Amino acid sequence: MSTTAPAGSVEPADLASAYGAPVSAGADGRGRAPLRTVGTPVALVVACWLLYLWVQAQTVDSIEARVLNREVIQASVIEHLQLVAVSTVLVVAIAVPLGALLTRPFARPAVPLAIGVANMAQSVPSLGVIVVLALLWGVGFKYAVVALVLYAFLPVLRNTMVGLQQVDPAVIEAARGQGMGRRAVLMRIELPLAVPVILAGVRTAVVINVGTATIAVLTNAGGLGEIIYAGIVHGRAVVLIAGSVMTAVLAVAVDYLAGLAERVLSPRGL
Amino acid sequence: MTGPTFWEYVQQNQVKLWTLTQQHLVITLVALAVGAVVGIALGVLAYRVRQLRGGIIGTAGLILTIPSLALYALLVGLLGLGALPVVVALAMYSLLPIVRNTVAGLAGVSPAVVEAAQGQGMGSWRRLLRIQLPLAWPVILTGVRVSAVLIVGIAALGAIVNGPGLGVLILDGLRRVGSPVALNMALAGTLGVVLLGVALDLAFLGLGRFTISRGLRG
Amino acid sequence: MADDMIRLEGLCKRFPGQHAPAVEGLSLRVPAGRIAVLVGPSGCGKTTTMRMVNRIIEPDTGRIYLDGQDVTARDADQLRRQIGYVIQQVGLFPHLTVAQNVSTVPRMLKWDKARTRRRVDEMLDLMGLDPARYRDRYPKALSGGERQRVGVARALCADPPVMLMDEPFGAIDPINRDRLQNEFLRLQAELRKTILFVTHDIDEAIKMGDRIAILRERSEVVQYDTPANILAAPADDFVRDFLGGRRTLRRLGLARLGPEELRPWPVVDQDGTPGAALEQLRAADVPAVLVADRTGRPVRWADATALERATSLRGIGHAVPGVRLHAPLADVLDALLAGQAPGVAVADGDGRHVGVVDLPALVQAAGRMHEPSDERSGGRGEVHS
Repeated sequence: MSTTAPAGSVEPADLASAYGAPVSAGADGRGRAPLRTVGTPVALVVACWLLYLWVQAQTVDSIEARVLNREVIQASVIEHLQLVAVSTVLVVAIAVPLGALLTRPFARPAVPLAIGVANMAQSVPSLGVIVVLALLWGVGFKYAVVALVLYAFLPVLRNTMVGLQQVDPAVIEAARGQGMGRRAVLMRIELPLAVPVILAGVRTAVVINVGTATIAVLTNAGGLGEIIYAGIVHGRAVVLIAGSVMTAVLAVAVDYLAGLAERVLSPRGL
Repeated sequence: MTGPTFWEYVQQNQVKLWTLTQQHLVITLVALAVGAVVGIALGVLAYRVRQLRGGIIGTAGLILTIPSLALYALLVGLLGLGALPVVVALAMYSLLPIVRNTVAGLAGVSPAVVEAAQGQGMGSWRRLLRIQLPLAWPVILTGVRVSAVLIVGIAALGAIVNGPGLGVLILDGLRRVGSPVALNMALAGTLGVVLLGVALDLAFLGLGRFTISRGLRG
Repeated sequence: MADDMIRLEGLCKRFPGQHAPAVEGLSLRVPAGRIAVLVGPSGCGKTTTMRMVNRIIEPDTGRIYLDGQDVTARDADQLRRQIGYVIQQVGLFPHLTVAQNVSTVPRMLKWDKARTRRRVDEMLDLMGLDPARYRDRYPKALSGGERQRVGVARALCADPPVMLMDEPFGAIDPINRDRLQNEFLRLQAELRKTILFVTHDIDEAIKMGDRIAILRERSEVVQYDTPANILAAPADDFVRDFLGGRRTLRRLGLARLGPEELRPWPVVDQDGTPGAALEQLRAADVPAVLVADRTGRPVRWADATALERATSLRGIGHAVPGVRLHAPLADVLDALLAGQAPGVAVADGDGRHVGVVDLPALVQAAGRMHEPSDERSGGRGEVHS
């Protein structure tokens, strides 16, 4: 998968797969899948409930009360999800066509370059992307989305390319041999066969976006990061812990839903 | 632009940049060392006890889904501000690639070789240390390398909880928004992290040359 | 020639970056309804040649005619929908069901749904796959042989007059390969497609081909003739080497047992006496007599020693090996060697005993194969060069 990974790596471990669904991958966990399907939401609900009980048991001062109330939390969650949704849709809309373009025969020389850049970009800090963009263009939702798109772009691009390249050449030849045109082969054979790999990339992008969106607070774009940041700035442990637990719960929930979508959307027969 | 150019800024602040880079490298390597020891141990456990495999790998994956700011903040709640929560969080993030590659590496060792070792009268621990881990080492090392590149970027965010490293420079840049050096600082911090990532990647490739048995190298 | 379904004229192909052309000036004609096999060592350009027919590879120069029409410049996708294409790796679409795979071309040709469905079931039936069981399966749930059957069904579904087959049975184990080859030949006897078939296996070429083109580097046709003629008279040392040893043995697989090879042989009734049988044996000057059962069918061999010792003819001697008239001579030889008998009993199409073939007769028949002819191999088409 990765150009830099030695031939010996059985399961290719790169950033895309590092985030990607660990339980559905590999020989492990197959038999545990049903348990996890039910277990994850139950665990998340229990975590929220415990958090609620714990916060209730604390004596809350005015600063804490200003942040930890229903309106603020609800608004933050919605902002957060909006950031994630808009940027993920944009990432898919840009990265999948570009990945398809880059795997067409005429673009073949550019592929190693693209994968090389993708590998190098793994260590780009999300903080750096957000801050540099904010300093260059400005702050707010719009620019936060740009930063999120830039940051989550490469996993989807790379998985699209890898997914398309993994399609058995014999299948493509058979399709061409039956008289399918290049477009038809791409749309009806190659892309459907690449869907599982592309979806894994999208899931990675979603998870990365949930994470990066927490930092968007630094550029006034809102989200759950606001609660965490308020906790840090004012030195309030209750706010800090409540904010981070909620963020973690949201991230795991989104990843869980993305995993379900991955399973539902992948073509049967693969 | 009225301020100094990027290169002028870098030249004028060499010492500071170098210090921050060193700090960044140190927290990354310390976290990676902890992560590698724990990760390989968990990987061996997951390989040997099949019932635990899904749970261990699943938990390591779960950690990686938690946004870094949230994990840092949680650990600050337990450990206070500073370098400690950053190192612990980074070590936790580094687990998944290492655990997963350890399991994959061990599973990739030819059963015939292990059986041959057993036939020579090697005990289970000796087999693990003398045969299985060395044979799985190229794959494990790849996992460590992937983790290194992964956490070097996450480490930058540690600056928000008063952690050391190049992230400090990026945050300082943000605080000086409007000043001519702001962008230079943020850029220097970001590029510094990327370069450190590339350097670590190459360093681990080089490490492979020394630590992988010559019999296993192509 | 109006009878040639496929006509290739002066095809050349040089791949970029390669010094020598892969195909240089190839011309070939395949008569309608026949199987022409391209066979040659790996790298001789046979697959490249075949792929130029449906223009998966575009020829640099030369012309391709299908059914008398020049298709060299026709829209390649339209052209391919009229040419069945089967490759060794099959290339079934893994995300589509068997029915969806088979109906690929009809759907592109916009057949209506009911007609497509009927046709798919018909095709699956034809390939020996129960439509009800296989229609909705995915390729991963099929065995290698089943996959190749579905691949052939897909190629045949829109009823193209021409088929291209590139080592279609190459990835299948020998037993199933043999079965698939036989099935396909039986199918072809009905369908009468014009087929260009590529293989590197000379035995497969001999078995499948109405005619064989033996190719060497750059797709140079060294010899193009019926299998029997090529085996009888290889054009040069290259062909002789390619055919390998056991050329005569292979020809025995092609040549058929005719009535002229049969010898009359004494047959005694199982209810007769051993003494009378012994007398017949001596009179005919043969090493053993045939003992027939009540229906007149010879069942046992009895030699002089056995007859002298016996009191009854029932259950005496050894079982008689038997073959049918027009069986391949190779089968006759096999029965002869396996049966440890002086001869093989031959029955006609209705199972009636018509005579015996023994080793001298077989040797004589094999000797007669040396004159090249086009009719001895069962009417596989006239010589064409």
